[in-house]
Amino acid sequence: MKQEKRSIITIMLFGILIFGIAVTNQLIPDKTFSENENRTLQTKPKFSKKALFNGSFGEDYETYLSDQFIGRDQWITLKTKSDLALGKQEINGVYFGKDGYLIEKHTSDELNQKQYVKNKKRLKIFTKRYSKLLGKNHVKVMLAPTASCILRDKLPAYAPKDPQDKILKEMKQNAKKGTFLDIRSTMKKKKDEYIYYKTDHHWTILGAYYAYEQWANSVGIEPISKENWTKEVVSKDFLGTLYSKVNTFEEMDQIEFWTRKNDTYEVIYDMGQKRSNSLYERSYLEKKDKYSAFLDGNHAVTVIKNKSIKNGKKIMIIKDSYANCFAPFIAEHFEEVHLIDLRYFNIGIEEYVKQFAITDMLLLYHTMSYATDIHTLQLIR
Amino acid sequence: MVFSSLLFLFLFLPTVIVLYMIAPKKAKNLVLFFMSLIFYAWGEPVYVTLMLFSTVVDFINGRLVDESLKEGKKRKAQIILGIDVVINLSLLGFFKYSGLDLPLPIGISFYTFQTMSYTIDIYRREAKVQKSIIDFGTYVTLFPQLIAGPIVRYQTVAEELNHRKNNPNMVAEGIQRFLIGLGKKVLLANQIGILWDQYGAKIGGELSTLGAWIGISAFAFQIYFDFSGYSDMAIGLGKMFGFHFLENFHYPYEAVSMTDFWRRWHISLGTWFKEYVYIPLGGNKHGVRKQIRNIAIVWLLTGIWHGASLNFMYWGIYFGTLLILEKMIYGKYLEKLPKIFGHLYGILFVWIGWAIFALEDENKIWILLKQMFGFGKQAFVTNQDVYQLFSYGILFIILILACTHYPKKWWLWIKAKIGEDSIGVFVIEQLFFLMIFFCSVAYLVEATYNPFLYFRF
Repeated sequence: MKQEKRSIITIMLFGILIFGIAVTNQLIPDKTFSENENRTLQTKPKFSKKALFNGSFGEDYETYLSDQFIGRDQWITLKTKSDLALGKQEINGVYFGKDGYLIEKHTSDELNQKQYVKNKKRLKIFTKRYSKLLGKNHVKVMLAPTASCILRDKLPAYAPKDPQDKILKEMKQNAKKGTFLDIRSTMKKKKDEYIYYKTDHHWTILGAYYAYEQWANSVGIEPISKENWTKEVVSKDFLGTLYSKVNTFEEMDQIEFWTRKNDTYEVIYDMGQKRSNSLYERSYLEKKDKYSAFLDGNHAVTVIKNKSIKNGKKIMIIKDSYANCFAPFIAEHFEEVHLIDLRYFNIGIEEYVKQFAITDMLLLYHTMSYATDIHTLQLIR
Repeated sequence: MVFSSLLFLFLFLPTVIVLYMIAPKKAKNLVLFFMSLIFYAWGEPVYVTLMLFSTVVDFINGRLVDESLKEGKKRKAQIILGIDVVINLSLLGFFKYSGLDLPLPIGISFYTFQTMSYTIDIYRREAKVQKSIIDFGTYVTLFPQLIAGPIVRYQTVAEELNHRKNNPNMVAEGIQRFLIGLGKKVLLANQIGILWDQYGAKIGGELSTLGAWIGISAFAFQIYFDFSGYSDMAIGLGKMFGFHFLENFHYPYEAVSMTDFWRRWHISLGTWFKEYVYIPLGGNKHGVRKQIRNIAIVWLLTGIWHGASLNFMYWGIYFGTLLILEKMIYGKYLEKLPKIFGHLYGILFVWIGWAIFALEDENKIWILLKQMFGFGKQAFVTNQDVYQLFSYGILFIILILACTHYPKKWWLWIKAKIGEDSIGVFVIEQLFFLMIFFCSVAYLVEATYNPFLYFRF
């Protein structure tokens, strides 16, 4: 009798769990977007004979169940925590580093060899062509190493070799002599400062500042010293993209805006579709995606006009999102800064350079992002 | 549909349970039959017809064989049985081995073997003919064992198809068995599978000697926990609905010889071949030569059963050869040595077997074997290996323990100490199963990685 009572408790527990979860899943309203994962979620798939027979209904329905699962984020946190308890040192391509650093893992497997070879060649053609067109020392290439390349002492013990050293070496060999800025030693000297976020794959504005110093020195401009900037902490609870991949963190990140007193800017996004007079979009600070506060995230073309400067110099930055917090520094030295994102840009670069009388160029990506970029054909068109 | 999915746990299973509970006794098989078809059709809406075809063919042939025998027409019964076997094997052959670019119907290797066993059992007078197509259909399509076994012989469940008793103890046992299987699949097999994927991709590249062993061990654990986990879930679900399926695994990695291993691994397949191939061929009753021939045939077929790719055939031949050698030459010496030698021999040769089994590309098999035994210029150990051992060390320890009989033994010992009936034992057990449930669901929700190995067979 006792055994039977216990069996009934076991059955009840199991029943409550599966029926409870099943019913709540059906009752809770569907969400269409996950801010945390930064993607649209699968909503209830429409039933049709065709979808049923080609199997897509079944697949979509399973994605729907997992996307709309009650407490989805908490379940994922539970998974991460159990992985960590088992001694895992990386989850979903994110290292759990020392001092609360989440660090994106990079391996040479990410490289598509064909694309990589093309990107090296195109860097060569690009730097040659525009050095000739704009003059020596007017074209620079800066591929920023990511945290896994610089913060080595924060990585788990025996973590596999990071591929960026090799990539940077090969890129440097391909770029026209004198155009390539290797900022690794600069960044390594500052590795104990807050130059990378702990929960996001970007560098901080401080990291970008040190890169700016090296760039300015290389083109013969006196960099504006650190003390001459007003630094404002605008967020203390930033949880970035790496957090989203693992749903757990040790420390939140802090975002700073750096400004100068007398700046007057006009920022024009995508040929006038949106205008602003600030390099920072504060509205993003209320959202999950706080890094987009720098220059409103990614646009095909972003033009910054510095009204307090009249020197006839206009720079084009071909870039990924690493440049978004770099732009405030460079904008101090040019009448106009044109930021071009090749993912969304489909005018020829050369045509653009002529049309807007560009005088200087900078190619600024993080290393892996340039090495794997599939839009580099634009560079040489 | 697979058991280790949110869809099964939180939509299909609750629905079946409710329908099964409210259905009157006579309609319970109909509910299982109908829901099993949905279970199958979810991923394979077209091939469900194939399974129904196979069901109807064997149902009719079974009756014809039965009638012929009753009329004393043995010859006729033999012919019908022959036709039945040919139809089943042609179905299997066409979809599995024809080389046409068709997707393999899920579970075809399992259900054709099951339906054949029915007609053969009828012919041998080992089972009674099934009069109802619904009940027979329930046997063939029964979702717990439909897509990855165990291969349930008709005579095993014949009685329970029509007269099964169910009680709370059996249902509770079923639930716990199901959860153990779910945990084995989701928490152990899938997780170590990630490591095998990483090392498997490196074969022929930068793989160290230690790395080769880590990789193939990861595969050995993945395939065991994947497959035995699935069998546990099947057996558990069976119990929940009142069926007793036979055990399919018995701590295979504790084997002390190849003969022993095959008594412990995929037992239902071994039994099938023994009952329907080895013994009809004469088994060991007609001298050594015939016995060797029979073993060779069975193992060739066992290999081929696993797939059309040549490596499965090599795998079968490999084990056939070892089994013959054991029987004829060194088996008797092995038995006299201390057991530890048997264990080492068992693991070593089973692991080599997995290298053949895991890789469809022959060249890669050779490369992996060379790398495992240090023939080659590779390093003995790399930083990467140390890193992976740090990351997977605890999981490896759990895996090693979990494939022995010790955890169960220790728990029974503790239970005996605190008292079988004590509330403490009950609470600990409940918490253990809750933990498996919650962790498994968490891993399924995150499900970036949930492949299912035994789909291919």
